[in-house]
This record gives sequence, C-alpha cells and structure tokens, in this order.
Amino acid sequence: MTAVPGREPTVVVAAGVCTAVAQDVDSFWSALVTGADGISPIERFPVSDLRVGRGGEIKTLTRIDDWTGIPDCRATRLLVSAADDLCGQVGGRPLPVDPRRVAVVVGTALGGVEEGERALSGDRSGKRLRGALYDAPARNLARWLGVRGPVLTVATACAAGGTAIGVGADLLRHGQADAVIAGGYDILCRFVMRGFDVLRALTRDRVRPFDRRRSGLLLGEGAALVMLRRRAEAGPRVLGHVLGYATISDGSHVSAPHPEGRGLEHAIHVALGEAGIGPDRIDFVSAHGTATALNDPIESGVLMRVLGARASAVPVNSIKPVIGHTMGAAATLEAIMCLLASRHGLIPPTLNLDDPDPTFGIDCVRGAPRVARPRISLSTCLGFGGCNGALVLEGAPP
Amino acid sequence: MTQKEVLDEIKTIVVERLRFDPRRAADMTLDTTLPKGVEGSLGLDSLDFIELSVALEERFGVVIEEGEDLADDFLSMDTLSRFILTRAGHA
Amino acid sequence: MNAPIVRALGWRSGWGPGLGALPEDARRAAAGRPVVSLGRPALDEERFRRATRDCLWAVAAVGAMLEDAGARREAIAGARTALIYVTAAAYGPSNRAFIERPGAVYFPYTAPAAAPAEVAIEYGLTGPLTIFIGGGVSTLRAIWHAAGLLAGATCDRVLVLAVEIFDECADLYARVRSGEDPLVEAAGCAWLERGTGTLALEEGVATAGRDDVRRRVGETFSCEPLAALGLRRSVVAGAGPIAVSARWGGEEVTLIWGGPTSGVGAGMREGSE
Repeated sequence: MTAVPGREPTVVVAAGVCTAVAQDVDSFWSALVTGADGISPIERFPVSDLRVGRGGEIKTLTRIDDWTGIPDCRATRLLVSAADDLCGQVGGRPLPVDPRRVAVVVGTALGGVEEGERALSGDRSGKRLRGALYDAPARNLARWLGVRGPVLTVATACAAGGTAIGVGADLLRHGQADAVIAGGYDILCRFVMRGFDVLRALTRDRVRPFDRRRSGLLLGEGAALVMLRRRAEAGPRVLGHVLGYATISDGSHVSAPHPEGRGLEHAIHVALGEAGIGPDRIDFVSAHGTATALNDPIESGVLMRVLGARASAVPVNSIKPVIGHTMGAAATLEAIMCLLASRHGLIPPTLNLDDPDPTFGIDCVRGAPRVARPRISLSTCLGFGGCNGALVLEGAPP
Repeated sequence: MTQKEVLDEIKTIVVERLRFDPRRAADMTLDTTLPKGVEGSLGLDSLDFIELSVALEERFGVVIEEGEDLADDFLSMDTLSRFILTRAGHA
Repeated sequence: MNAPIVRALGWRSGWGPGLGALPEDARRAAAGRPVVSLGRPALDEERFRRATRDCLWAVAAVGAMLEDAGARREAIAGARTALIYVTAAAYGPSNRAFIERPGAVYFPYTAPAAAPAEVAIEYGLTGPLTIFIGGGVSTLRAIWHAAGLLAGATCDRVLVLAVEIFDECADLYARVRSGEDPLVEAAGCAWLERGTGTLALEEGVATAGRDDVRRRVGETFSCEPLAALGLRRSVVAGAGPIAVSARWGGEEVTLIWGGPTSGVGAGMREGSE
C-alpha cells in the first residue's frame, strides 16, 4: 500500500450501485465485461420534442419491494437502491457503526431538480418544493440508513461523485466520522435532457469514446455508493483503498474544459501527490471518456503528458457507452469499476470503440475485456464550471 | 429576404438571446467579426455559438447539424448572413 | 486541527454593503417584506451578460473581500488558492428560468458550479475547488474542510464563499414559509490562511450567540456563519475562544476557534466596509 508518510489510505469496505444495466455490484461487473448495452429510448417522460431521446434509463427499480416511507423522489430512490445493495454486503441495516458516527457524502449535478419541475407544473405541495433543494436526496438517504452523522452534498457538477469520495476520506482523516457512505447520483429528467439537447452534446449514434467516429455523449441515470473506513476499523475483507484525490478549478470557461486540459492535469498531479506516488505507478486509467469532440482529445492529451513514454502501454477505458454519462454518479461508478478490475483481473472494454482515433496515442481497451490485474488505478472526471477531478485508487488482492 | 434583413434579425438575436447591450448590436455592420480571440470581434465563445445556432434555426427555419464545421461561416456578420441566405434558399 | 486565520471578509447583503449596514432587528427593518433583495452588482455588463445573479454576487463578494484585505486580485490568483463555494438555494432562480422558459437559455448556468466558475475565471483561480450544498451547517463544514486543506500542502489560502439569492423565487418561498424572518439575499467570502490556534467542530450543539446574529441579519441560509465571523471582528488575536453555530436540515453544528493565538479577526480591517 502506498501513501504519503503519516497519511493513511482510506479503505473502501463495500460498494452499491444502481444503473441501467444492473442494480447490484456483481451484476454491474458482469454487464461491463460482457458488453451489455444500457442505452434505450427514454420512456419515463416525454422526449418527442428533443433531437435525441435515448439514454441509460433504469426501467424498473427491482431491489425494493415496498417504498412506504421513502419519499416519492426518483433521486432518493436511486440512492436508496444503491444503499440497499451496499448494506447487503456489510450485514444489512442498521450499519454496524454508531449511527452518530456515520457520515453521508454524496455528489450530484442536479440534486432534486425534478422535484422542482413537478412543483412548478402543478404539484403545489410544500414537500415537493423542499425536495427541489439539491441537498434533499442526501438527507433522505441518511434517514433511510438511520444515520445521524454529518450529511454533505457535493455539487462539483459531473465530477461530484469523485469529489464526494475525497471529501468523505477527509472526514475520516479528521475524525468527523468513523464510517462514511460516499458516492454520487443523478437521474434522467426533462430538465437535464433538454439542457444537453440544446447544447447539441447528445449523439444520434452510439457513444464511441476515443473513436474516429465519435459524435457526442448520451446521458444515463444512476447512483453509486461506497462505504469508507479507516484502516484499523475496516476488517479483513475490503475492496481497496482511496490513495489520493483532487478536484481542481481550471478558471477557463463555464462549461468547456481548459483547451489543453490544464485543470485535469493539475488534478492528476495533486491526487498522485496525495497518494505519494509518481505517474510511473499507474497501471490503469478509467477515463472520463464522454466521446464528445472536445473531451476526448483534451483528455488523451493530458494522459499522454502525464504518462509520458508509458502512455501507449497503460490500458485506458470508458464505461460511458454502457450506462451513459451518469453525471454525479459517474466518477463513483468508475471508481468501483477500477476496484473490481483489480479484484477480477480483467479490464472491461470500451463499448462501441471500433475505429480508434490514431491521433490519441493511448492504449484503449476495446472489443473484449483485457486480462490484467491493475494495482493502482487513476480515474478522471470533468464537469461544468471548470471542475476537474482525479482519484487514485488501489485495488485489494482477490 | 435581403442580406440587410438577415443582418437586422441577427442583431435582434444578439440582444435577445446573447444578451448584448442594444447599443452594441446597433453598431454592428457586415464587417463585424464574431469569435472570441479575433481582434475587434463581438467575442462569442462556444456557448454563444450554440445559442446563436439554435436561435437561427428557430428564426430562419434552417437546419444546423451538430458536428458541422461552420467556423468560416460564423466568422463575421457578412459570412453568417450569406450562410443563412444560402441555407434558407434565398441566395 | 489548526484554526485558520480569517485574513479578510467580504460581505454584501440586501441591507447594503458591509456588515455595518445590518439593522439591529431584521424583522422590524424588513417591515413585512418577505425578501430583502440585493439587486444587481455593478459589474462589466458585457463580460457578465450571460451570468445569473448568483454568479454576479459571487464575483462581487470576492471583490469585497479583496477590498477588505487591501489586496489586489493578483494576491489570490493561481493554483495556491483553494475555493469552497457554499449555497443552499442560489441556483433556484436559474433552475426555475430553465424549467419555465421553453426557449434555449444558457443551461450551464443552472449548475451551482457556475458561480464558482465565474469567480475562478474572473480572479484566475486554478487551485482546489469544492462545492457544498446546504445552509449554515455546510458553511461551517466548509471552514473545517478549509482548515484541513491548509493543514495539507495543496494550498496557501482558502476562500470560503457563500451566496444566497431569493427574489426570483419569492412566490415559491411564500408557499413553504410564513411569519418567519425575512429572506435576505447575501454573499460573503472569507479569506482563510494557516493559523496556530485550535479549531474544533462540535456536532449536535448550537450556541445562543447564533440567535443574535440571526436577529440582525435575517434568514440568509449559508451566508449566516460568515456574517457571524465578521461581526466578531472586534475580537482580535488572543481573545478567543469564538464559537459560531448553525442549524440546517436537522443538523446543528458549532465551530470553535480557541487557543492562545486565535486569529479570528486578525488582519480584518475595522470599518473598511
């Protein structure tokens, strides 16, 4: 294990997911390595007026039979579903920790905005309106978990699922909690579909990261959570470790990343510095990989600079073609994927990457899963507002 | 539709959609350049060009596909108004 | 944890610029107005033509902080300044506008991240960035998080910035609030640097001092703890401990600056606002 002296890595004890292809971690892994496709026409709300009406929509939430007492708020329900998966791995609810010492830190790009849409379109209940606050779903999750520690909502846009893991690790390090449920979520709703549609960011084709024919992203919905502990309290069976993280502002533009990826590169170096390792130790990169005209060249350029001569030899993937860009959930889902790759000795392929853009010079995993057991993974994420995130993770041996 | 009429419509879009001061729009001529980074230009960035494209589609009934490289057409008020006239079938 | 020193604090609210403009009793001063608005700050109209009011006041609050510090913007530019942005609801107006207006508007400005982005662009900030959503409790956690960042090696200063904008959603607040303190639009920014005092964060407790601040300021959600800090500016180095409390979403938190070299207020210029 690696980290700066005196700085103990945070342990990832368990994980839970809720996505268009799977509602538990084991099925999620199977879906990633078998090339499942979670993209479908959106059915839950009208999309006929949009240029693109497809995404990684979750058709039915299958884990919870009885939603009594859980707010009728989709964001909350995705979070609860992921939490139910996670709890199943640590002995169920209540969690085996003093509830006053369990923190909830979740990242989101959209919070409870769909509740705002509902409140403005006829549902005049005060409860609906209060649910529109971006921190409402995290509080609902804490209530469902029965925990009473700090509850934080992190809103570094589409990097939020990574920032939340980092902030959660900091809470443990500074003694504000003994366990942290950290992660991210976001849902597909009219608001966000209209937003990305009007930005012309959505593709009519498949999502093809790092492909010559890439033409944009598709959105997805999901929630992903990890349980973080300090090493001494983690127990013997763990998923891995968070070695370092950073979310860096690039001060460049309100929606586009810095043209040379200056912020992302800085974030990677800060995260590596926190981990106490150099870029030569990176075995695998989970890329943000949105397949937009702008993202992929910037990101591959940054990886080329960070990895140097090793750039063509370090495997890179993007799982966004499988589940869509799940915004606040994306970085957490990708972090979980990194840890599962270490456990299973396989790197999931980048779906739909048929014709790699030769200008990129990075080694994208495509076609079939690659047999490799990465120890140290780097996961990158970018969001509106010049948010650039990096997580450095270490998988636990199987 | 004449180029002058197209120019006036674009000026309206510049005020209503791109939120420029009406006086700034009034000063615009066919020679006015648009992209940020070009000296003396209006200073539009990628987000403005998306907004502008949507507004042009709505106003003139033209179709602008994502992925089209229109940098040369969106260079100045002259090139943009000619582009609109061509797309709208008036040229 | 080492307590950071508050080198400067910028404050703007519907009551006027600076904390000196606060009334003794916000309820009485509001005279029945449910929202005390900030209006629009005087910023370059063309440069900020797209920006929503939350962004504008975020930029203005940092400007007020620089004024308070007697510093130029170069003093905070670069990668060694971290920014933590906190808001409970300042994104409300932009979200509402996007929901209600069928035409295309600038979607990226609906994200809470837009306000700190405009700040970063304006002042050239390229350091660590965090955004917390919530009321005063989140601001206190942001200060605690800032202390952690300062204890590490990733930055030399942290700006804790809080903004709340209500006017465009006044009718919606009227649905869920009645007969309470007026909603007072506000924007505050604290410039924190490494200090040598001690900082403690206590969960589940709030001190009575909070009520005095609230009585003067009104309801400002995330901005309230920054007003509390500013109002204690007469308490200079060595006079601690100082406690700042907040309540939000069922949580109660108190942040306590202590130790013989407590630096809250040190460096903050009396009467500069």
